[in-house]
Amino acid sequence: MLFNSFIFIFGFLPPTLLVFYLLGRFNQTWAKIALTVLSLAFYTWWRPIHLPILLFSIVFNYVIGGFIQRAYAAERTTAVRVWLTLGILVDLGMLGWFKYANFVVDNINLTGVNLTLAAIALPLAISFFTFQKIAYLIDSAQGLAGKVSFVDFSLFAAFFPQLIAGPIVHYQEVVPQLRQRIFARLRGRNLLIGLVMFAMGLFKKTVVADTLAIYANPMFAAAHAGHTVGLAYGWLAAVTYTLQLYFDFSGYSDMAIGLGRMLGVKLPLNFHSPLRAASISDYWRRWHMTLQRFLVAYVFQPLSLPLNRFVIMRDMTGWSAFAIGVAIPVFVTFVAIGVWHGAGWTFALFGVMHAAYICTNEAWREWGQQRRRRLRRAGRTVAEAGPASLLAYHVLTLMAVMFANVLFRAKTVGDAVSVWGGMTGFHGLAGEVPGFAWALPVVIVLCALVVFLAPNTQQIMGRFDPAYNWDEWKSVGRAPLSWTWKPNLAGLAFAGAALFFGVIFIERGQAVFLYFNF
Amino acid sequence: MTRLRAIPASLAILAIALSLAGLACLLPDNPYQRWQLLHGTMFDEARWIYERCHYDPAPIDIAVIGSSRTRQGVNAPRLQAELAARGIRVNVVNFSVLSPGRGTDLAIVKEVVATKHPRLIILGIQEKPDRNGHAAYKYLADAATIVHPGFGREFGYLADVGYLPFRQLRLFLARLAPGQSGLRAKFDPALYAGSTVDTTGTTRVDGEVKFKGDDPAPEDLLYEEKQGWEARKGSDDSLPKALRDYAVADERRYVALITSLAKADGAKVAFLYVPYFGGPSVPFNPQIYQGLGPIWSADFVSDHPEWYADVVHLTRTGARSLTDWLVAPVAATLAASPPEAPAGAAHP
Repeated sequence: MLFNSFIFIFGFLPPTLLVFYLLGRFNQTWAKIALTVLSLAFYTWWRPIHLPILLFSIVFNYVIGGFIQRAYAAERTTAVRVWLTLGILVDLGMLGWFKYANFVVDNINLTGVNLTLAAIALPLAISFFTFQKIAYLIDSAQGLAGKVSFVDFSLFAAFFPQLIAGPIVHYQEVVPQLRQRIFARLRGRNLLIGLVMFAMGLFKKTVVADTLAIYANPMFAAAHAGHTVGLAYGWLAAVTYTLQLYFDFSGYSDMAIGLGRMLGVKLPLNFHSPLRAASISDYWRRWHMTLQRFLVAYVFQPLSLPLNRFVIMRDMTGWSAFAIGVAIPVFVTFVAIGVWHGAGWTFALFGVMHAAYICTNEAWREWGQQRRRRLRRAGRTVAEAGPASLLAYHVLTLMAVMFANVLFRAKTVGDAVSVWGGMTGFHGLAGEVPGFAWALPVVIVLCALVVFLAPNTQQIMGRFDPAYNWDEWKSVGRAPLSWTWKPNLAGLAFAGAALFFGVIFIERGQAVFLYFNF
Repeated sequence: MTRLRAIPASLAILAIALSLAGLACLLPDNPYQRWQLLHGTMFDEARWIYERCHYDPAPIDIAVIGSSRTRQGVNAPRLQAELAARGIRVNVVNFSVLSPGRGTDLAIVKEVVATKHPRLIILGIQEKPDRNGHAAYKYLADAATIVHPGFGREFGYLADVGYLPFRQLRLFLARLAPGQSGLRAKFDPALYAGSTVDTTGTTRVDGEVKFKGDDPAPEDLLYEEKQGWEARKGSDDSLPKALRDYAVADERRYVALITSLAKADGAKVAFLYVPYFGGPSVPFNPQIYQGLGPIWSADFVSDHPEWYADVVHLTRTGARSLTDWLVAPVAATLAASPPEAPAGAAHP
């Protein structure tokens, strides 16, 4: 079921809220069970045949998590490692089979081997719920996740607002909220804040992202069909898709956070105006934040720590130290991020591109620090970056992101090369822009104004503690324009209008969220 | 933390959204642009229907209206020519559109009656009325009819009304900026398909085949499709007895509305039954139509596999046979009700 569908908004959400809060008046456990069952129904609506996979994942990880927690409590380190390894292997094995088996076989067959494997349908959200379970197992092994009832665990694992496309949540973020005495008791405040955030997210998706998709899709389809991509066409395609991707996924995340809040659960932020970032590292801190922190915690850091220890022990310096201590863990992490999105060379190369960006960024940072140290030693002051430099950082970051997003969107690497050729002027200035409409530049300018000047959803809702980790982010990346939502006439009109436009634009034609493919 | 009157505020947001939806429904539109909304789809001929009614001075004496069965089954230019050969000079159009459901028929009848005052409306029927409403209705019907169709519609009402705010907003913006909307505000004779169009055979929209109707289906496939069709909806007893009447309520009410509208304008109404391959010789619920007009059952086609492109649609050849058969009852009906005024000068 899509959040941006009538069946969800009018058929699923109101009865779910009603049942949940009605049961919650009498018995919290019944309310939890009902919400879990409804969440599974939400998942099943899409493709019932994949429900057993989700159920297996829940039961298996609950059992293994319990073993790990008991072993941890008894300080049996080896048992913890054995159960953790088994759990992660099964989880990754499932993910690997459903998501990557066809890709691997196809690539092996390129070498002349003739393996046959029927097309495997990708279960909805498997990347998201698998990562959530792995995080739970690792948290259990680190003593961060304690004993939990099956009812609480099932709800944590199936909670429909975050089930399909995140935010990817940790045990300690959600389960304590489910255990609070007030959970499942109706609080109008949660409903109101959740409703406003949901309305803003829905608007971002159906009005903005789907409008951009109308222009972006034919442009990439034309590139795929072999049309010449000129300079204007290439940049229009890259800019339009970058904006579409941002509004689509951040809109979805706003809706997820809003729905969670309606049900009394604060979810962590997933986007914090990433297109306003002044460096690629900053961009990744603010783009798909819950995926990034997962991979940093469970891939980058476990790799980086021993490698840096190795560098220190060997007294390595300069580029060799950089290559081992920084480049290797960065490349592994970002290739993981790339292939997490899909089994294909475009995604792998997308990860490689971002790894190269990050390494360049880190090298630049290191070079700047050394330069500042040298200047300080020479008794000279170091000037802060001026407005022109800052603007250049923003523009450079954005351009790098857009170049990589072309690869993310393109069907093949060849299509991406074609669009890049246009962007870099190799195919001339004009080229062809099939179906170009003058409305597109207007739409792009409006979207850009919102992205660069306006506060984001959580900043608009800042006075209501809109997300689980809002305290960490509330002073980061303030917008040039400031406006916070209040329940006065203007605020109610704003939310009502966002909801109205968000809902009626569903009728333009439902488009799945881009991240449903992952 | 800010104090909130949260529940009233939440209700206020919902009320504002609902009020805006209501206001959007009131936005004015250009009906010509509305009838272009389905351009490029399987209902592409909607624009031609509107143009034929509003921009072509030639009268319409006979309008065939119904689903894909009558669309693929009646060759309007041929019917017109055959009637002319009998000395009956009339203009015939086939305004049937793909897919069953009566709402769109009513919208078309409203247009044709208001602009052309036809002498005869031939309404296509099938063995069992479709109860899901027509897919094109919410795009074509005027806003007032969608909100208040004249009776409590059972099926599809919420979906139709739910679409209205978006449609009216889009049409309103298209009125303001037709160039950006892709919906022309003015009639372009160069793009007009003509006074009558042969709707039978294969249908292409912008070069893309939307419906294959030139060649007969292989006979074994036809029998297989027939079994499947009958298993799905080929009988009248798929619903409990108490619900059967409810299931045809839309059909009964729409047909009553269409016939009363036509008759108030002086038009006769006849019902043309085109059975599926091997289907029954009369519809399951003839009482819906009895008393409103004659039922012309083209049951002779149903045992001719060579005339069916698929289990429910005739090929171009099958349509020719049906059209030739239709000449006699049409001629008799027209003879029984001569025109009040001489036929228009634009007759062919």
